[in-house]
Amino acid sequence: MKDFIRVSNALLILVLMGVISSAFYEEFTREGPPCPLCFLQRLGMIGIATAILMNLRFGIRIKHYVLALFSAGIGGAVSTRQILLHICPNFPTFGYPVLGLGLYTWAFIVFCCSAISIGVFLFLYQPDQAMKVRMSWLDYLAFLATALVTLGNIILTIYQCHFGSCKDVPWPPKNPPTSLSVPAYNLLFPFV
Amino acid sequence: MMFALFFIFLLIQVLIFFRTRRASLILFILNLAFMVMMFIHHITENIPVRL
Repeated sequence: MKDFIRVSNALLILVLMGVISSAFYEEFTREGPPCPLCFLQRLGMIGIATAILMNLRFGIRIKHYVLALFSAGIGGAVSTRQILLHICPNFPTFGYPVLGLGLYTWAFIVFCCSAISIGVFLFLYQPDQAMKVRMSWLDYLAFLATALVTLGNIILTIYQCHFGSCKDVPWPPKNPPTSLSVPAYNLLFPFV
Repeated sequence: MMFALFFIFLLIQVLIFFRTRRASLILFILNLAFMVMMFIHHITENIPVRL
Protein backbone atom coordinates (compact mmCIF):
# COMPACT_ATOMS: atom_id res chain seq x y z
CA MET A 1 0.00 0.00 0.00
CA LYS A 2 2.85 2.37 0.90
CA ASP A 3 4.52 1.79 -2.46
CA PHE A 4 1.22 2.32 -4.24
CA ILE A 5 0.80 5.72 -2.54
CA ARG A 6 4.38 6.74 -3.42
CA VAL A 7 3.93 5.73 -7.05
CA SER A 8 0.60 7.60 -7.16
CA ASN A 9 2.31 10.70 -5.73
CA ALA A 10 5.01 10.55 -8.40
CA LEU A 11 2.39 10.03 -11.12
CA LEU A 12 0.41 13.06 -9.90
CA ILE A 13 3.57 15.17 -10.22
CA LEU A 14 4.24 13.86 -13.73
CA VAL A 15 0.66 14.59 -14.80
CA LEU A 16 0.91 18.17 -13.50
CA MET A 17 4.20 18.69 -15.30
CA GLY A 18 2.63 17.25 -18.45
CA VAL A 19 -0.18 19.82 -18.20
CA ILE A 20 2.30 22.72 -17.88
CA SER A 21 4.39 21.30 -20.74
CA SER A 22 1.30 21.17 -22.95
CA ALA A 23 0.63 24.83 -22.07
CA PHE A 24 4.20 25.55 -23.23
CA TYR A 25 3.46 23.69 -26.46
CA GLU A 26 0.27 25.71 -26.99
CA GLU A 27 2.17 28.91 -26.34
CA PHE A 28 4.98 28.23 -28.79
CA THR A 29 2.95 26.66 -31.58
CA ARG A 30 -0.11 28.93 -31.49
CA GLU A 31 1.49 32.14 -30.24
CA GLY A 32 -0.85 32.57 -27.27
CA PRO A 33 1.02 34.75 -24.76
CA PRO A 34 0.59 33.82 -21.07
CA CYS A 35 -0.91 36.49 -18.80
CA PRO A 36 -0.12 37.23 -15.13
CA LEU A 37 -3.01 35.03 -14.02
CA CYS A 38 -1.75 32.18 -16.25
CA PHE A 39 1.65 32.43 -14.56
CA LEU A 40 -0.03 32.33 -11.15
CA GLN A 41 -1.91 29.19 -12.21
CA ARG A 42 1.35 27.57 -13.28
CA LEU A 43 2.83 28.57 -9.92
CA GLY A 44 -0.08 26.81 -8.21
CA MET A 45 0.59 23.60 -10.17
CA ILE A 46 4.33 23.76 -9.44
CA GLY A 47 3.42 24.38 -5.79
CA ILE A 48 1.36 21.18 -5.66
CA ALA A 49 4.20 19.26 -7.33
CA THR A 50 6.83 20.67 -4.97
CA ALA A 51 4.77 19.80 -1.88
CA ILE A 52 4.33 16.24 -3.17
CA LEU A 53 8.10 16.07 -3.88
CA MET A 54 8.58 16.57 -0.13
CA ASN A 55 6.57 13.37 0.37
CA LEU A 56 8.91 11.48 -1.95
CA ARG A 57 12.06 12.79 -0.23
CA PHE A 58 11.19 13.14 3.47
CA GLY A 59 8.48 10.50 3.80
CA ILE A 60 4.73 11.00 3.48
CA ARG A 61 3.36 13.53 6.01
CA ILE A 62 0.05 15.31 6.47
CA LYS A 63 1.84 18.71 6.48
CA HIS A 64 3.05 18.17 2.93
CA TYR A 65 -0.44 17.32 1.75
CA VAL A 66 -1.78 20.45 3.47
CA LEU A 67 0.75 22.61 1.60
CA ALA A 68 -0.31 20.96 -1.66
CA LEU A 69 -3.95 21.69 -0.82
CA PHE A 70 -3.10 25.35 -0.10
CA SER A 71 -1.40 25.58 -3.51
CA ALA A 72 -4.41 23.96 -5.18
CA GLY A 73 -6.71 26.41 -3.38
CA ILE A 74 -4.72 29.46 -4.51
CA GLY A 75 -4.46 28.16 -8.07
CA GLY A 76 -8.17 27.32 -8.11
CA ALA A 77 -9.04 30.82 -6.90
CA VAL A 78 -6.88 32.38 -9.63
CA SER A 79 -8.41 30.26 -12.39
CA THR A 80 -11.91 30.96 -11.05
CA ARG A 81 -11.21 34.69 -11.27
CA GLN A 82 -10.05 34.32 -14.85
CA ILE A 83 -13.10 32.26 -15.81
CA LEU A 84 -15.38 34.87 -14.21
CA LEU A 85 -13.57 37.65 -16.11
CA HIS A 86 -14.02 35.95 -19.45
CA ILE A 87 -17.66 34.91 -19.07
CA CYS A 88 -18.65 38.58 -18.76
CA PRO A 89 -20.63 39.77 -21.79
CA ASN A 90 -18.60 41.74 -24.38
CA PHE A 91 -15.35 40.54 -22.84
CA PRO A 92 -13.03 38.73 -25.28
CA THR A 93 -11.69 35.26 -24.50
CA PHE A 94 -7.99 34.85 -23.90
CA GLY A 95 -5.91 32.53 -26.06
CA TYR A 96 -7.32 29.66 -28.08
CA PRO A 97 -9.69 26.99 -26.76
CA VAL A 98 -8.38 23.46 -26.35
CA LEU A 99 -11.06 20.78 -26.86
CA GLY A 100 -13.67 23.50 -26.56
CA LEU A 101 -12.48 24.96 -23.26
CA GLY A 102 -10.09 27.79 -22.48
CA LEU A 103 -6.75 26.94 -20.85
CA TYR A 104 -7.86 28.67 -17.62
CA THR A 105 -10.93 26.40 -17.49
CA TRP A 106 -8.69 23.36 -17.93
CA ALA A 107 -6.48 24.75 -15.16
CA PHE A 108 -9.52 24.94 -12.86
CA ILE A 109 -10.40 21.31 -13.67
CA VAL A 110 -6.79 20.27 -12.97
CA PHE A 111 -6.82 22.04 -9.59
CA CYS A 112 -10.13 20.39 -8.64
CA CYS A 113 -8.85 16.93 -9.67
CA SER A 114 -5.58 17.51 -7.76
CA ALA A 115 -7.50 18.53 -4.62
CA ILE A 116 -9.71 15.44 -4.89
CA SER A 117 -6.71 13.12 -5.37
CA ILE A 118 -4.90 14.71 -2.40
CA GLY A 119 -8.08 14.15 -0.38
CA VAL A 120 -7.97 10.46 -1.35
CA PHE A 121 -4.27 10.28 -0.35
CA LEU A 122 -5.15 11.83 3.02
CA PHE A 123 -7.96 9.30 3.46
CA LEU A 124 -5.50 6.47 2.82
CA TYR A 125 -2.82 8.00 5.07
CA GLN A 126 -1.30 5.79 7.77
CA PRO A 127 1.49 6.79 10.17
CA ASP A 128 3.88 4.11 8.83
CA GLN A 129 3.99 6.00 5.50
CA ALA A 130 6.05 8.75 7.19
CA MET A 131 9.20 6.59 7.14
CA LYS A 132 11.93 7.67 4.74
CA VAL A 133 12.71 5.19 1.98
CA ARG A 134 15.12 5.16 -0.94
CA MET A 135 13.87 7.06 -3.94
CA SER A 136 13.01 5.02 -7.01
CA TRP A 137 13.75 5.98 -10.63
CA LEU A 138 10.16 7.26 -10.94
CA ASP A 139 10.74 9.63 -8.01
CA TYR A 140 13.94 10.91 -9.61
CA LEU A 141 12.06 11.37 -12.88
CA ALA A 142 9.42 13.43 -11.06
CA PHE A 143 12.19 15.56 -9.50
CA LEU A 144 13.84 16.12 -12.86
CA ALA A 145 10.57 16.99 -14.63
CA THR A 146 9.58 19.50 -11.94
CA ALA A 147 12.99 21.18 -11.93
CA LEU A 148 13.08 21.43 -15.74
CA VAL A 149 9.56 22.86 -15.98
CA THR A 150 10.31 25.39 -13.22
CA LEU A 151 13.54 26.41 -14.95
CA GLY A 152 11.69 26.78 -18.25
CA ASN A 153 9.15 29.05 -16.58
CA ILE A 154 11.90 31.20 -15.04
CA ILE A 155 13.46 31.74 -18.48
CA LEU A 156 10.08 32.43 -20.09
CA THR A 157 9.05 34.90 -17.38
CA ILE A 158 12.30 36.84 -17.63
CA TYR A 159 11.97 36.85 -21.42
CA GLN A 160 8.37 38.11 -21.39
CA CYS A 161 8.18 40.34 -18.31
CA HIS A 162 11.92 41.10 -17.80
CA PHE A 163 12.54 41.88 -14.13
CA GLY A 164 9.36 43.89 -13.57
CA SER A 165 5.75 42.86 -13.08
CA CYS A 166 3.95 41.09 -15.93
CA LYS A 167 1.42 43.19 -17.83
CA ASP A 168 -1.94 42.04 -19.13
CA VAL A 169 -1.78 41.41 -22.88
CA PRO A 170 -5.08 41.67 -24.81
CA TRP A 171 -5.53 38.64 -27.05
CA PRO A 172 -6.23 38.60 -29.94
CA PRO A 173 -4.39 41.94 -30.16
CA LYS A 174 -6.31 45.02 -31.35
CA ASN A 175 -3.43 46.11 -33.58
CA PRO A 176 -2.14 42.92 -35.20
CA PRO A 177 1.63 42.84 -35.55
CA THR A 178 3.19 43.00 -38.99
CA SER A 179 4.36 39.91 -40.78
CA LEU A 180 7.96 40.86 -40.05
CA SER A 181 7.50 40.81 -36.27
CA VAL A 182 5.29 37.73 -35.84
CA PRO A 183 5.04 35.65 -39.04
CA ALA A 184 2.84 32.95 -37.52
CA TYR A 185 0.13 35.53 -36.77
CA ASN A 186 -0.56 35.92 -40.48
CA LEU A 187 -0.81 32.16 -40.88
CA LEU A 188 -3.34 31.97 -38.06
CA PHE A 189 -5.37 35.00 -39.19
CA PRO A 190 -4.82 35.14 -42.97
CA PHE A 191 -7.88 37.32 -43.67
CA VAL A 192 -7.58 39.84 -40.83
CA MET B 1 8.74 40.03 -10.04
CA MET B 2 6.94 36.90 -11.21
CA PHE B 3 10.20 35.16 -12.11
CA ALA B 4 11.25 35.41 -8.45
CA LEU B 5 8.35 33.19 -7.37
CA PHE B 6 9.39 30.50 -9.87
CA PHE B 7 12.99 30.91 -8.75
CA ILE B 8 12.06 30.38 -5.08
CA PHE B 9 10.21 27.19 -6.07
CA LEU B 10 13.33 25.96 -7.87
CA LEU B 11 15.36 26.80 -4.75
CA ILE B 12 12.88 24.85 -2.61
CA GLN B 13 13.22 21.84 -4.94
CA VAL B 14 17.01 21.97 -4.59
CA LEU B 15 16.64 22.21 -0.80
CA ILE B 16 14.29 19.22 -0.81
CA PHE B 17 16.78 17.24 -2.88
CA PHE B 18 19.48 17.93 -0.27
CA ARG B 19 17.13 16.97 2.57
CA THR B 20 16.75 20.32 4.31
CA ARG B 21 13.16 19.99 5.42
CA ARG B 22 12.72 22.95 7.75
CA ALA B 23 14.17 25.54 5.37
CA SER B 24 12.14 24.22 2.46
CA LEU B 25 8.92 24.30 4.52
CA ILE B 26 9.53 27.91 5.62
CA LEU B 27 10.38 29.03 2.08
CA PHE B 28 7.34 27.21 0.75
CA ILE B 29 4.98 29.01 3.14
CA LEU B 30 6.63 32.35 2.29
CA ASN B 31 6.20 31.68 -1.41
CA LEU B 32 2.52 30.83 -0.93
CA ALA B 33 2.11 34.16 0.88
CA PHE B 34 3.81 35.95 -2.04
CA MET B 35 1.45 34.21 -4.46
CA VAL B 36 -1.57 35.41 -2.49
CA MET B 37 -0.12 38.95 -2.46
CA MET B 38 0.38 38.89 -6.23
CA PHE B 39 -3.20 37.69 -6.70
CA ILE B 40 -4.59 40.44 -4.45
CA HIS B 41 -2.41 42.99 -6.27
CA HIS B 42 -3.83 41.81 -9.59
CA ILE B 43 -7.40 42.15 -8.32
CA THR B 44 -6.92 45.58 -6.76
CA GLU B 45 -5.06 47.14 -9.70
CA ASN B 46 -7.94 46.22 -12.01
CA ILE B 47 -10.66 47.76 -9.85
CA PRO B 48 -11.59 51.14 -11.38
CA VAL B 49 -11.12 54.06 -9.02
CA ARG B 50 -14.45 55.84 -8.56
CA LEU B 51 -13.64 58.31 -5.76
